[in-house]
Amino acid sequence: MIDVKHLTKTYASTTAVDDLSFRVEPGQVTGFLGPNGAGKSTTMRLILGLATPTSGQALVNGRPYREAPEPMREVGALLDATAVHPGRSAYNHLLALAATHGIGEIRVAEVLAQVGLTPVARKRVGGFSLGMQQRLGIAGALLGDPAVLMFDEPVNGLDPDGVRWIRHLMRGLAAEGRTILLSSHLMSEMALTADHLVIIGRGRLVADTPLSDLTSAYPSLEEAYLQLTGSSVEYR
Amino acid sequence: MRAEWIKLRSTASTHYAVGTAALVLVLGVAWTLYVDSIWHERGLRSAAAAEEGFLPVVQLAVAVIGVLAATGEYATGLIRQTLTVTPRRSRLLLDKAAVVALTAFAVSAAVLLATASAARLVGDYPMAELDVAQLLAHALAATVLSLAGLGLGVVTRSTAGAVSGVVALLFVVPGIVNLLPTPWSTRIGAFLLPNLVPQAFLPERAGLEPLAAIGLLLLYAAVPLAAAWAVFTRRDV
Repeated sequence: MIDVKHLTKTYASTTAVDDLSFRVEPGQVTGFLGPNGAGKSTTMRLILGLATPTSGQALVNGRPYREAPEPMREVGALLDATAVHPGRSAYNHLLALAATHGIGEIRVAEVLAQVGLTPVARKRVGGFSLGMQQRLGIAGALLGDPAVLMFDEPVNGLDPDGVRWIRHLMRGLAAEGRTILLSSHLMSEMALTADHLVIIGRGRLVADTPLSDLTSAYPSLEEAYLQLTGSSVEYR
Repeated sequence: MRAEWIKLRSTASTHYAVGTAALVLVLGVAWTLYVDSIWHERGLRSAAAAEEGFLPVVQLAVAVIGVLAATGEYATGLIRQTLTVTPRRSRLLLDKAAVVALTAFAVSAAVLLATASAARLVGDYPMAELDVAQLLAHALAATVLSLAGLGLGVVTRSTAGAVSGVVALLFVVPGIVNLLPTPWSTRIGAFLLPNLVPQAFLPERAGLEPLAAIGLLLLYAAVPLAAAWAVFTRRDV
């Protein structure tokens, strides 16, 4: 479970996240929506302790993430699939992550097979397509078999086959009782994948509601999203 | 720590840096053969041994290993994933420093010892006797430079910036100090990184005491690492 409490992050002149509170419950896929620059990625970085909040806090399984005894076994995260060393092989990339928690080569081979990268495991990541990098990032998130998973735009760059694969993966992970926070700009895809939605705009909470409530009140999720965030689209 | 080791050994840049350092063995043998062929006719009393002449190459190569251990993660954005799986930043920096130090020392000691032995094996010209302790001290200085590179890499987050810093320590600052008027060039020169190991082994050359020289050498690693720790544990990524 992820518990975001009055989270605020201010940079020199802008407020990226503004008094944001919501909870991400286990057993369902929570879609995290908002226009570009709304603060989705910043919120995820604050949850992971990569950035320090100006005020408020984010708790993962009841405590700040940085205090987790075995972080990888609690949370798996894919923030930016392209953030890998291009010269390293997929296998070595995962092996280095695994070594931080004493996870063995067998598990590395397992997640490589799960995301379908086994044939290219020894190839340099620099030669991977964005879709393959996304799969590698997902493999990294799954390594520690964590109960909480966060994915920032995992569908970008995937082919239709890959998009469907992610949808089934997310549904399956949620069905196992895990907590899934998933951000995406693809409304049609989100309508098929998410159970619950958290929508933010300009760093503030716009909606925190079950998907079914939105789709019954509006003609489509896309329509609902555009109306709800219409006032908060602004490039800063 | 094992994770840092895997990361270090699995990048091509590390292999290139180690390769560059190892190249010194080849260059050293070539140098020795060349001096051998000319020292008689030119009447040289003695000439620098190969490992001495090519020392800066070894130092720079392992310094780059230290720099890239930090900046390689920032340049690719991998640092976020690294800190996601290991949020304890002090521990991470310590592990990185340990892996860099062990690698830098092993590589530089191996290359220097191999070059020195090879030079004495193939060379007939009069050169200084092989002094293992001094060679290990040079390897220590190279390790210090590598750790300074790591520290500067964390602070600047830029490969170019950190490599410039290391080059400044090794070449630029000593070059400038050399140009100062005489009492000052030697007085300040005594505190500079490349001059510390010689002072530790040739105390009669009037400068720092051997222990003071080694202590100062270690400070050249400790200060950048402390600065790195101060910013790394606080900074958002």
